[in-house]
Amino acid sequence: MVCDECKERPASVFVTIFRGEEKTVRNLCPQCAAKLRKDMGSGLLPNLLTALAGKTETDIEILPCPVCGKTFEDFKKTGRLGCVSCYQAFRTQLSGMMAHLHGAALHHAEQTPPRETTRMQLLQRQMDEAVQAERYEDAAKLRDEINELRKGGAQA
Amino acid sequence: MNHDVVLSSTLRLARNYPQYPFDTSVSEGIARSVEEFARKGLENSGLTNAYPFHSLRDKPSSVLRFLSEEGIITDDLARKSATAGYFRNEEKHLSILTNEEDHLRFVSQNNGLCLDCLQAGIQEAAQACATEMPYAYDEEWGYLTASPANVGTGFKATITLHLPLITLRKQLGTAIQNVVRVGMAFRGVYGENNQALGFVYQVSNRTSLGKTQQDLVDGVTGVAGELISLERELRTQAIAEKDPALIDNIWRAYGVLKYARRVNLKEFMVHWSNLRLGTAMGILPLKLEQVDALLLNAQTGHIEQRMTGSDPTETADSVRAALIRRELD
Repeated sequence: MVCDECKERPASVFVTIFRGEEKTVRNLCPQCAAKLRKDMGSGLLPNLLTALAGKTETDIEILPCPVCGKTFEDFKKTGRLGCVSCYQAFRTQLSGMMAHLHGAALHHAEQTPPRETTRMQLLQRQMDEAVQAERYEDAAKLRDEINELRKGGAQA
Repeated sequence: MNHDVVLSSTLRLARNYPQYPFDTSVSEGIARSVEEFARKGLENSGLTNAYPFHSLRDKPSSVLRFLSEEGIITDDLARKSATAGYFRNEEKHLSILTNEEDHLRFVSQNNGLCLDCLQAGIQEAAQACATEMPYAYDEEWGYLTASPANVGTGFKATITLHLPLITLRKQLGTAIQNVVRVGMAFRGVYGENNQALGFVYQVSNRTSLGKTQQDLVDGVTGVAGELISLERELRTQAIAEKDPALIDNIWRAYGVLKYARRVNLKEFMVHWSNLRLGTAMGILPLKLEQVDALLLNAQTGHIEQRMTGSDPTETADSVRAALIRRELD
């Protein structure tokens, strides 16, 4: 198979481009693929650019994650990010991907369950629930535990 | 309850704590900290006794294989056995895998078509493990995971199905297209490279962002429902036609498994599929629970556990055959 771009060298890099539901496959030789990576957005590969969804950054320009040091290249090789901060570091690139991976919706639709950060908050929620459910004995026990925590200053 | 076509339903939830890299196998200390957060969270919620912990460190590979076949752990967890482990609630068939691809993976399974039945247990366990340290969560992308493909709900619902007629009557291609069209995933379970050994397949949701867990459960259940209907329709047709080839294969499978002295895994899977089909269609004098138990007990890890090593002529294939003969007697 010959490279779609230069039409000379054999193609060995196969790029799939999604624009919404539309899928375009480009068969490139390593040289044209490298050129694509370097010159994306500069108009040197006209056939390819008309198929692209308007990306303007190249992967090489993306800095690694400041927390774990992983690069976007690492992610592309393994499909796995290094740490939670990678989501911030590569936010722009990932935004584009999320649409392909999960469909049009980007926002998390689900109600977040309660997230307590301390035992105190956990006990307080449990006490509220016990009172709501009219389990007053349980509520009293929890209230006592909460007071113990407050008084003793003991870590849970 | 759909047992004629459904083998099992599984729910999986992925969660991570914010301060450590996703891949904790780089550091024993980090892996242990993840375990500690989960353990303390369970303690805070009074679930310590319900969820005893098991480390995978120093466990021999045959045990790991066995646990994976049982659905107690995953192959991915087994691969990281140096730093991985799991909390297990046997009653709820629920495992909290620690230090797999994500810090925590809550996995629960039953052998019917009831994903909803598994929700409460998974939610309780997941909420408990967040009470010492809350999970990594992004306002735009929900719960964060090692793979962006799992963000949002971090939720995967899977239904495992036995679809011999759909496969044999060459309706698999269309069936797969219908599954994929609604954004679900479809794969063969047994054999290498997602082969369809035993005609056992899984449907699961492919996306986890932008939908609620209930949406995903409903989606997978719906797709499974269509496959179940189609499989049943084709089976009914086959019975009406008194399909001689099919019926012969079913009885041959029964005969071989009842009397053979050596059965390798691949051969077993082929015969097992006919055994299950024959049982579901009321042709063979067996029970589905029996047949499904046989599927598990004949797998490599399970057979390895039974090999005593005392008899030099004993091989995995002969042990398997003996097990099957005893069961079908």
